[in-house]
Amino acid sequence: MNKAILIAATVTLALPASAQNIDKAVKAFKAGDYDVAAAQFYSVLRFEGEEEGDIAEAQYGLAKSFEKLGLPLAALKYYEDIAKSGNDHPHFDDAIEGLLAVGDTLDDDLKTPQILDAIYTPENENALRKMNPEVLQRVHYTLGRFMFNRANFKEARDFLGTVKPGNPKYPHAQYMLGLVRLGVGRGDNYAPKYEQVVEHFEKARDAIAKDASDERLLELRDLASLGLARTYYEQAYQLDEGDPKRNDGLTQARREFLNVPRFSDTWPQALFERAWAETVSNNYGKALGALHSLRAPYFGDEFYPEARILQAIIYYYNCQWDRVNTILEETKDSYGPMTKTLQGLLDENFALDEWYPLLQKSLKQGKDDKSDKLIPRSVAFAVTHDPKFAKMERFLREIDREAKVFEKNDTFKRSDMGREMTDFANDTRDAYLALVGKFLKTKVNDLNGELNDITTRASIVALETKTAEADWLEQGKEIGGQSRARQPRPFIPDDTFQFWWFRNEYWVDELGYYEFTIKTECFE
Amino acid sequence: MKKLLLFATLTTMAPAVSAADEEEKDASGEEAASTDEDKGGDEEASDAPADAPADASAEVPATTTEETIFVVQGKPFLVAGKFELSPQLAQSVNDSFTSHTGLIASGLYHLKENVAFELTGGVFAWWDVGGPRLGGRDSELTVELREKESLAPERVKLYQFPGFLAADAQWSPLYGKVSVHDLALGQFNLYLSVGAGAFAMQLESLTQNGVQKSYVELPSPIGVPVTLATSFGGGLRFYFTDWLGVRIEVRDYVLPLSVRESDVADAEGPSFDVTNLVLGQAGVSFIF
Repeated sequence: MNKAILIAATVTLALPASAQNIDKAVKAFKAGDYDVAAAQFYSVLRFEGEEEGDIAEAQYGLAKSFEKLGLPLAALKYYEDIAKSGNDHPHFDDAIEGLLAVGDTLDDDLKTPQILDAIYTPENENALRKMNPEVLQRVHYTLGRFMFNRANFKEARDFLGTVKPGNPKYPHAQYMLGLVRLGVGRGDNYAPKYEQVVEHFEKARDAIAKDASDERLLELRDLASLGLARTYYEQAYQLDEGDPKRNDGLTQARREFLNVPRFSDTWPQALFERAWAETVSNNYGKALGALHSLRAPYFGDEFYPEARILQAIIYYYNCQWDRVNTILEETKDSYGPMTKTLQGLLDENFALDEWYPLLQKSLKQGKDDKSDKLIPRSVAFAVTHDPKFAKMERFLREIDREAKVFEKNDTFKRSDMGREMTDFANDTRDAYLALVGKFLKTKVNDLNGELNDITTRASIVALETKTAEADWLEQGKEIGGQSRARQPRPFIPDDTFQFWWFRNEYWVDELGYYEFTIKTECFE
Repeated sequence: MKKLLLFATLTTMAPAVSAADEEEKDASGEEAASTDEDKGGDEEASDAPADAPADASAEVPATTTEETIFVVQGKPFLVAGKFELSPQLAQSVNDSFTSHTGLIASGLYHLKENVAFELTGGVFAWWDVGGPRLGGRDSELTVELREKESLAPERVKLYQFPGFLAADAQWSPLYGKVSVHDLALGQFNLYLSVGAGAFAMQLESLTQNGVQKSYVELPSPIGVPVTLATSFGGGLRFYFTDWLGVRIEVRDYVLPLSVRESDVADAEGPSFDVTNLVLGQAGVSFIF
């Protein structure tokens, strides 16, 4: 009997308590007191025997409170719960929108697309189709990108094609469509649709306002320019020398490379690739100039090992054998030991979560340090410049930041919610570290392969040079011992231009404008 | 010493360089360009040790592998077709018997990137016991001569100038840039100017009564006594943005002056002079 009374009392007491909690939470949320609101919403969720309606409200309220508090990762967790519970949830649509918002904030390529992919089911199809078209197109963009990364190119194209002009993701979708049409990431014999590629990249670029200030949009615009340059170059390179279309294509490629703004993140890559376009266009002086810019201290942390090979090739074309040999020797001296170190590290079979600490340690070494227990400094910095890695590192930092918030916030730190969310952040970090480790291992392996390839190519160029030198000697031509004086001042178009000699001192304002006067030493 | 040895090394090397040029001509069919700058570049590129005997390089022909690297870039700030307004402070810098301090305003029109026309107006003023007044002042030398030696320079050398108007043409033959610890980068150009103008004149009376300065009455058909002047000058103009810059300049105004008994009541005799009023000027430039 006593037991029955106790149960009855609990039930009668419990209902008002829960109602009070949700009311308090909503009141705090409306007052902008988001940490109190989050704690209250959380207590509603923890309260056993809670009404479904209140639980649904609390889930959404908690996610929204976290979003307002600038804790996107925590918000993602609860938006995910709502989205995965299906379209019966009263806040299903809101949760999708919330997911997109926090996914954008986190620049998340991994978790958000996976959640959206999981809920994009026939059961939810009707609910999704009834959503705000703008939101649905953003979902499609996220899924299109996800499909592209998983090499489902047809589905990627279908999703991306639904994003209409005016949607905030339209430029991004057009850029991705350009990549799809270009056949990026495809292993089959796909024939790129160059005209469509150009159209997509141009649409992506044109859709970004001239006065845009959002850094991600500006970066996308630069990437579109780089994409156009690469497309023109690839198309032109396949044509025969002397074909006017080839010259036009290379000219367009060079122009697009120059469209990438100086000092932008994409600029060093554009400089390096322009050097190739200039070489193929027989503008050896401009090509060497672009490579010369890349050697400036400003680009000290950039890593373009192929630049040396290109430099050697240019001197080879101009029969300057001594310079070719010097560069090749330097190349082998620089990259030979690096490949040994990298191979040694790969052979160590580090656990995945050991790679990120190793990278951090490697970044701290001095310029002249050459430890075989660390990733060579230039390689380590090259890894950090990889956009995928940069995203991953930002995500890791966000995890750490949010864990600290839950540990230190007065409202959260002693509560169950604080402990649960700290654990969630730590678990996410552990899982993510393994993912980062996997990426790093693959990246280091790829760079090792690239460096091996460079040294092999250096050997090939060296062999070709020896053959050419032997040919010269056979023809009675003297090799070496020839002085090279500085060539005359070049033509300067008019007084709106200024001229400077390079006197062994890099000036930041001159980067990207360097040119060489190279005189061929070949004979007929 | 190091420099001298390097020079000696290169002097001995010169024939070897010429021979190499000759070979290059044979190979390519065209003569290699050789300028003074080329030689300078070779000096820099020479690997010969500085303390090596001078004749060592003659035995082993050293090869130079200097790269020709240059930059041709658009000027960051274009001024052709633009106006420039420049308030400046001016101070005479060759004071002998008089000194002038004043404010100048210049208006320029840049006809080309390196050619401009300028109109300048200025006033000189000083604040002494009698309060502020237009004009120059006696230099310390003049005061000392007068007070300690009871001497006075020729009257013609004591002319003072309350103000002037001038016009000149500017030509900028040289440009350069300056970097301040990689934090700020400024472009500058060196300009030369030549022009003409008119200076208002005043001459203190020999006898001064009271606190206020008194001046002799000078003849003038236009109401203000003036003298014509020609000017020569040069300066540096730094541009930090496309609308703001600073300029420093030295300008020599050449003025023919005379004191005739017929014109000046208290003249002790005629005196003539060609005065160089050299002004140091510094100010800001607004380009629009």
